[in-house]
Formats: sequence, C-alpha cells, structure tokens
Amino acid sequence: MNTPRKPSRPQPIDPLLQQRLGQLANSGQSQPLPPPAPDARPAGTPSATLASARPAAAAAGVSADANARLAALAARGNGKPAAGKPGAPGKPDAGKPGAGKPGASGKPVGRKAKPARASKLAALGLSAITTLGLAGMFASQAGSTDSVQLTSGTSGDPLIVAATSTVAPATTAATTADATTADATASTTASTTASTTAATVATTAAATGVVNGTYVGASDSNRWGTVQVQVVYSGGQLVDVQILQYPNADNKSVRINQRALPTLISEAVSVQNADVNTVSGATYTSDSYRISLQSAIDAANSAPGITG
Amino acid sequence: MNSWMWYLTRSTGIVAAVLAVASLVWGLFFSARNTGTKLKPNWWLALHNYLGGLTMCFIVFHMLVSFLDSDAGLRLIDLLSPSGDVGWSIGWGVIAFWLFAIVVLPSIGRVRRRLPRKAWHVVHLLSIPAVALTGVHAYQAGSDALTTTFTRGLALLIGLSVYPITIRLIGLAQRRRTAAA
Repeated sequence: MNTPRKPSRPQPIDPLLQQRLGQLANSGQSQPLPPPAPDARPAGTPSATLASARPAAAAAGVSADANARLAALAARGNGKPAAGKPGAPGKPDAGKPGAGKPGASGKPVGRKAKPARASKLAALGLSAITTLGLAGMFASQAGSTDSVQLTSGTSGDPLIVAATSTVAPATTAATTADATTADATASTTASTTASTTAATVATTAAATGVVNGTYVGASDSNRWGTVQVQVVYSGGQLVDVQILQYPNADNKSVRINQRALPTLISEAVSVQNADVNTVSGATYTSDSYRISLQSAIDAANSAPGITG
Repeated sequence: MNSWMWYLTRSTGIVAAVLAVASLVWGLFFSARNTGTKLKPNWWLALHNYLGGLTMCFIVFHMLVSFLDSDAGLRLIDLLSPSGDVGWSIGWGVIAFWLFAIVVLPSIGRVRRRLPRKAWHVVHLLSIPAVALTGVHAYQAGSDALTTTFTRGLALLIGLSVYPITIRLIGLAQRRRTAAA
C-alpha cells in the first residue's frame, strides 16, 4: 500500500539570484567560481537550495557578486533544509558528509527535535496509572459492598420508600396493626442468624409457627449494586417485602429497578417463598433479590416462638 | 475475569473523557494564541496532537473491553452504530466515538496535507459536540453517574471546556472588530 514518495521539489532560489544566474547563462560568461568566504557558512549546515544552486552557478560561471550573495544566503540559513534520512531519494544533499548529523537532518535549528516529549510520556503514564488505579478502586469497592450494613440513611432513601409504599400499602397497615397488638400483648425480641444483618422483632405468635414480625435479609452485591430486602410476616403469612437497598448508582439502574422490583415483590407475596421468576432486563437484581429474600425467610422460619 | 472487564470499562471511559477534555482545552488555548510565552507553540501543538491520539486509543480500549465483557451484552453492531436496542445512553457514546474519529483521522499528516485548511478546521470543530456527547454518555450510562465525586468531576470538566471556548470566541470577536476598523 505504500506509495513511493515524490522527490521533494527544491525550494526556489532567491528571485534576484535566479535572475542574475539567468543573465549570466544567457551571456555565455564562463568565469570560474571564486571560492566562498571561509566563515560565510558554518560547516555541516548544507541546504537543498545551496546544494542545488552551487553546481549550476559554477557551470554558468557566476560573478563574485552572485557568489557573495550565495554566501550571505548560506549564512542566513535561508532555503529549506533537506528533511529526512541521509541517502533518501530526491534529496539533493543526500549522502553528503554531515547530512545525517544533528542540525543537518532537516530540523530547524533552535527547535527541539521532539517537543513535549516529557509531557507526552507523563500523559501516557498518568493515563495508564489512573486507569489501573480506578479499576483497582472499583474492584475493592465491589469487594467491600458484601459487608454493607443496613443504615438509617439507606432505608430513608425516598426511592425505596416509594417502591415499597406503592406496592403494598395495605400490608403496611397490617404491619402497623400487628405492632399495636404487640403493645397490648407480650412481645418478644429475637435476633436473626449470623448471616442476616439486622435484628428481628418478633411480635405475636402465629398459628403456622412463623412468628409475626419483620425480618431483614442478608445484603447481596452484584455488579450493579447491593440488594437487601426485609419481609413482613403477619398471621403466619408473608404479607410484604420491603426493599432496603437496591442498585441505584445510575439513572439506568434506577429506571430498571423501579420497573422490576414491584414485580418481584408482588410475586414473592403471591407464592409465599423466594422462588420468584427473573424479571427480563433485571437479571442481576432478580438473582440478588432471591438470595436476600431467601435469607429473610430463613430468618423468619428460624425465629424462636413465644415460650412460657 | 468479567468483573475486571467491567472495572476496566469504567476506568478507561473516565480516563478517555478526561483526555478528550484535556485535548480540547489544549487545542483551544493554542488556536486562541493564549499559550503564553514560556512554552513554545510547537510544544503546545505536539502535546495537543498527542493527547488527541491518546484519547482515541483509550476510546477504542473502552469499546474493546465493554465488548469483551459478556455480561454487558453489547454486540459489535451496538458499539459501532447508535441504535435504540441498547438504549441511547450507549448510542450517544457511539456517536461521540465517530465524531472523534472524524476529527482525529484527518489530522494525521498525509491526510491533512490533502485537505483544504478550511475544511479541516470545520471538521476539527466537531470535537466540541463530541466532548459534549461524551459527557451525556457518561452521565446516562456510567455506573458511577450519581456519585458525588462523579458529578463534581463532570462539572469541573464542563467548566474546563467552557473557559477556553469563551476565550476563543472573545478572541475571534476581537479579531473581527479589528479587521472591520
């Protein structure tokens, strides 16, 4: 696919000099070219213009005036230097002594050959380090969310309140009624197993053996966040599932879970266990929901009843 | 392993966004001739070019790891064409990627030499909407979008972008006024 590079066009000679050379060529003068001034041009700074102009001038036999002009041009460094590698085709000064040396390789004198090299390296290094650092930080955060405990701040999330209150307002009332009953009768406080994260408050004994009350399930973390539920038992029945935590770190997760969680809650209440179907598009939340719900139901089943 | 793909997707996305803003800021300061006298213009230009290329590399890396993350469920077509199948939160990112590609590729030496300067300049201005779409994509699709750090960082990046754009616009207005006078 590489196309051969076109030989670079020599830069035009100074117009005055070109005019003079043309005049000399037309007049047929053949004076020998006098040697240039010894300190007119620093050694090792050939230019394409001068390199190509000098033989032509010699052939035409330029005057001392033109030669002095050439020397002045060389001293000014006028004319585009031959850029590129030594020996490259099309370069008039290719292969000349000093063509590959610094200062003769086509880079303008006084400019850095590779500007901002250190800054570029710093940018690359910083980017790579930041990427790996952030990835490591995300990994450590994901590892630590397994031990996230229920806090009042989390349960006070308005989105969570909305999710639970819209699903089963009637069951919330039932729970309140249970609590009132508990005040009137003897109440017992029980704690959950080690796998659960919060205390279980037992209220009244139920006929089925499950103590009425609220049981908090273990939190389960997935790649989108943490899911934690609590279940409410009344009359031996699972009457409500409340969401304590759900993945809500970004708007997309919030939208997905606001659609999926009511479905999961109503299904759990209807089947009375944790064997709920996965909601399409919310696979991770469904899996974590089942795990947390199962641990809450286990806690309810293992809660001690009223003795004596 | 999949989790690490996810972490890398997030981190490369954040770094690519920061690099994009840095490249934009560098370029705008340079074009506004607001680079000061301490550092040479070729230093600014070389770093601007380099940051643009590095941004493109990180964007491609970001797309690659999100494709390799099987849990994300992104197909190649989802990464290359904005479609409603995976939601517009991803779609904005795809559009931003193509805009960056359109900006960066013509700036490569040989291509740029063949383009008229004005056409190249108009194409280069697409980097501004590209950075804006990057912000939208990050906010809508980012897993960390609602965290305080992310929100503050995004606000900082927007502020950093707006400042040189304002300087550039003021400079243009001044030049026109001088030319008219």
